[in-house]
Amino acid sequence: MQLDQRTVGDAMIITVNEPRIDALCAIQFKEQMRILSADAPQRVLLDLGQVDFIDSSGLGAIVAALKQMNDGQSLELACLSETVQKVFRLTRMDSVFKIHADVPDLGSCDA
Amino acid sequence: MRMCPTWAVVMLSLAQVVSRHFLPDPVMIHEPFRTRFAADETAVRRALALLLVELRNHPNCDRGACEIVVAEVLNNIVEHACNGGEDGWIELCFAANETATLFTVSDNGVPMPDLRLPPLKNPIIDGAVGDLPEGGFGWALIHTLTQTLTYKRTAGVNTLTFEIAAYSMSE
Repeated sequence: MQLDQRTVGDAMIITVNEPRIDALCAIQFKEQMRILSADAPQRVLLDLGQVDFIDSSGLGAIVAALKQMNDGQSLELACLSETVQKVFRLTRMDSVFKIHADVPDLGSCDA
Repeated sequence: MRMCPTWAVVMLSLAQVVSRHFLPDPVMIHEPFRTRFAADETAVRRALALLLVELRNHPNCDRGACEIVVAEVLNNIVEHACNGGEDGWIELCFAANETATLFTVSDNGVPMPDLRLPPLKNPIIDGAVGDLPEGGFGWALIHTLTQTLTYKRTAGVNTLTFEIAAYSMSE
């Protein structure tokens, strides 16, 4: 499970460099998110642009990642594929997360 | 000894009658897809990849819906029906027509509780973030995206059948 992180402005962007978050890797995803968000600033953005597919285990792991954020931290999502969007919409989880069509312009450190 | 020409004609006609009765009419046959694999997460991922490739042969299939539903069905079998058993197997079949993709999924795991399909029960997500459910989405997705969902248990085998509506070609 390959998660990359970078800090832009006052936010951390975590990019999932995997085509799937499914039953096979959901626990690993949740654990890596726990480690990354422990030291993250208040705003965390999960870039799912490389992810073609999530199943209900993957969805559960993203919800778990939200629940394990520290007080005051937020978890937003960006770049959902058509199928990933469908899973969020059908389970109404699209009403729980702030979802961006693209990685929003967060301003950069040297701006 | 030479064959009488009349007999040759009779035998030729007979051959035509036989072939007409025993060969199928030349209609388009959508070959059903069938694969059988071990009931574990790695094999499930491979089977889904294979399914997606096959579904490309059917342009009006709702591939996203098919992948979501079949993934949930297979995960349930691995986690609940076969749950770590070494000799667990799953058989996945589908056939597609113009209006729907028809799936049959069988496994040799334990039966569904009460020999019935779990009912549609959407997880409650209106409370605080800390109370959000991390599971229970699987059957909600299956019920929402399928039509004519059936379950039966016969001779130690679970069989689930369901249809997923195709995209309308006129859309």
